[in-house]
Amino acid sequence: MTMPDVSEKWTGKINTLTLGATSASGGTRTGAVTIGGASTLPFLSFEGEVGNRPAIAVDVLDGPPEGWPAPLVKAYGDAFSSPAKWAKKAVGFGADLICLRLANAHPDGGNRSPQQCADTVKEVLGAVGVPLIVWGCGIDAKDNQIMPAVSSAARGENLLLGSAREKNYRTLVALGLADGHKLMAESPCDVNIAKQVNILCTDAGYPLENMVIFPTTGALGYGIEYVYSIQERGRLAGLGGDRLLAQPVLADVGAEAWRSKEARDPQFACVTDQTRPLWGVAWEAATATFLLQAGVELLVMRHPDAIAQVRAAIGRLMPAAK
Amino acid sequence: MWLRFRQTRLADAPVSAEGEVPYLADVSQLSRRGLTFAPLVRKTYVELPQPSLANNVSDLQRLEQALGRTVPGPFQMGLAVTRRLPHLLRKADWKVTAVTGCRGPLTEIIDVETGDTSRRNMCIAADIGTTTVVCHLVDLRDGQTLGQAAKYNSQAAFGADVIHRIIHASRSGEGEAALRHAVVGDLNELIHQLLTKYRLGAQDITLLTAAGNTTMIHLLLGLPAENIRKEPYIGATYMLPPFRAAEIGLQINTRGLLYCLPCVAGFVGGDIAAGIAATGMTHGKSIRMLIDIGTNGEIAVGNEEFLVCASASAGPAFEGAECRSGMRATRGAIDHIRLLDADRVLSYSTIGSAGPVGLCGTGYVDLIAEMLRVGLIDKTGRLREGAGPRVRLGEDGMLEYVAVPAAQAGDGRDVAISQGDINNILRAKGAIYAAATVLLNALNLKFSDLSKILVAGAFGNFLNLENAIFIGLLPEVPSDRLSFVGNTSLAGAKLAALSRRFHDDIFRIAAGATYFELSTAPTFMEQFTSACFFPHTNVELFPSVMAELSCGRET
Repeated sequence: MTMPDVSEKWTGKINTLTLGATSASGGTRTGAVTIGGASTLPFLSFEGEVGNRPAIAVDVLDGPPEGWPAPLVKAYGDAFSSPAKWAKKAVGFGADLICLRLANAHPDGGNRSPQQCADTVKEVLGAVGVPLIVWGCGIDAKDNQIMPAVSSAARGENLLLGSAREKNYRTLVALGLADGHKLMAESPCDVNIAKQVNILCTDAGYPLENMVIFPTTGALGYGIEYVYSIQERGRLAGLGGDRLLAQPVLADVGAEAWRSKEARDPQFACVTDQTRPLWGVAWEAATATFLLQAGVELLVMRHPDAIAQVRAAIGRLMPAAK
Repeated sequence: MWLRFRQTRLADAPVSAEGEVPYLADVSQLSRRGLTFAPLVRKTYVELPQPSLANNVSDLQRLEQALGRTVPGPFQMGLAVTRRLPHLLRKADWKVTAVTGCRGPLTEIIDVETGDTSRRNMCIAADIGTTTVVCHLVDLRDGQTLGQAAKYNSQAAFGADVIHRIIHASRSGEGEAALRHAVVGDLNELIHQLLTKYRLGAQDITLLTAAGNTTMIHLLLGLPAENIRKEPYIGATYMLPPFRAAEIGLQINTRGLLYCLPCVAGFVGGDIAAGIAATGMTHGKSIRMLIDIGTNGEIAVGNEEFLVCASASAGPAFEGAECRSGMRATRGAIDHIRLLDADRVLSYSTIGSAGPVGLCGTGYVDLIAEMLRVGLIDKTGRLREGAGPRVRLGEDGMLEYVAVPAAQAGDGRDVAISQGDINNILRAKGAIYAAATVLLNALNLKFSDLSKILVAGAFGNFLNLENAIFIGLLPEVPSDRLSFVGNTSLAGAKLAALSRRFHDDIFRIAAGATYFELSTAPTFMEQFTSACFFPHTNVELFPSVMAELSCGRET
């Protein structure tokens, strides 16, 4: 008796998207990163194209981080003293991209000016050759001031700008179009809103194929199964032919995993002084590998050991170099 | 091309009175359905034979015998009337008019009047909505509608939706009385208006039929409503016998009867039961859907074999309430509008062709569709600052779009739509569309399986169905499958007054309907979020809208 072929055939395909521009394409990056391209569910190479390997971006802040847990402080050492040093260190840890967060532009934080933000971006661009993700401070009014400066300072570098939301997307759309950057569309764990933001951005004239979906991330133990099912639903829709959900997905793993109590200060009986620093690494790696199964093309991470573990896991799931 | 404009006129609609839809409640509807004209309350003039030793039946029996020749029995008469009867018959020289009303299988001789008063027998058919109360004055001799009056429900002072009103009513006896007095006062005010206008006396109104949602009927009758609010949402009673209207303070004939149409469940009321009967959707094999757009959006799907109803809270926006320039569909309300571009209005029409003073529901549907077309709002409904000279910051700190500037308005004030209004309409249409979708999914049906979608509501003369699809209030189906049927609740109340069989049919419909509870349907919230977008997050459900919008964007 022959076994029936139960492999699924999908009508849709996840968009392929390239971040960063080398001198040949008008930028200054030493390499570009291409993600997406899957025509089936993650890692099911027997069913179809699994696309490019998920890329790992590493977080860099525009100033020394406050309250980061000891394992991270230990890993980065004095690299926190400047974004440039930090970025170089991150590349040393194997970062495919740098995820620069302009957190100190926050009006209640450093309230840094648009020019200062642009300078930080230039500093990081000058220090490393990998592509950049640049995230604003999360306050719409302020982001609408700083992102134009950031965008034009990095014109042609093919950044991934974060993030366009339902209530604030026009500025980033205009910048992405004017300066040739890609766009991250954020939604609050809701597949409907994820689609709505994509529609709004395309209505405003932004090409769908230049977008990345950021569906909001939750860490292991903090609603990850909900996040997983939202991501999975989006992916199933995208593969099922819904072009508006066929974009690569970003997961903000490092920030979420390292916020958890288990990563910062594990309270389990088995924890010893020796194993304490490993919890955060394990938590971050587990969150990342878990979400990869739902379909993630771009992971944002923090700890070098977690990065190494996830890289190895991806290697096992996608053994042959694509 | 977005300049297409189509008004959907009701089939066989006579020239409409100001602000109301003439619809199905025409008396001719009865004969079309094979129903005979047999009002719930009749006046019959009889001349009784004089009593004698040879004909010595009692006074009441004498009256019943004479009456029995034209009015079906058996009869009953209350004590108060019986006490007056002997004197009255003799004083009237045995020429009297009997007022009879249906009470289940019995016919009650409600009253006996001296001489022939049979030409003064009127009825009030009332649609008691959460937001709007509408009364029609109907002549029970021939079923003709003499006039109509409407106003906002004064209970709104205690909350815009039924939940807040129930909370207020269940807090104290005074709270309950305040709500009851508010709506009884509204009805009396409308009745008084009609009586004055048509030079009639309160004693000429012998019948009041009322259709309303379950909460409205509870509050009208002073029934405790608090359990409707709490799971499992149980009302005191859904099937109501006729009551003496005077018992709750209605100022019609002191012996006149009040018939409340039966409800289906805590959140599916007599208004929808009346609507189902009025549209005749339970006749025939083809499956139809009735969408009643009110403060509670109510959906019914069925045919002669089954009937399922659901209800979703939509808010009063479609009735113009709680909106920046919202108003009922009455004189001066903009009911249709077209925009040329973000800066210019191409044309508009108002009810009664009066100077514009506000927007009614159909006006909002048109305006939002047009704002979407010309790019004043995006698909989330967000107004864009600087989108045009007519977009400005309103007094309440919200952005607003001025449709008619004060200089051209009927009352010297801007007619505008605010961001809040747009959000309210978005949520209202989202709730209605989601309710319809979830109900259909539960029945394993699709919109394309419906032979007809009937859209009811008391929010304007003619609903531009194309625009209603454009904003995603209604599904995109071939246009011949959509009809706007006006205020079906009132139509049902009126037809019930005119036909006993129709009245009984509504009870059968209410008893046979299945209620589908949306609040426990796990997919409702999901569908609601999906529908809170113009026209819908799943844009592929609205191909013609998408085609039109992408054509419009040529820049």
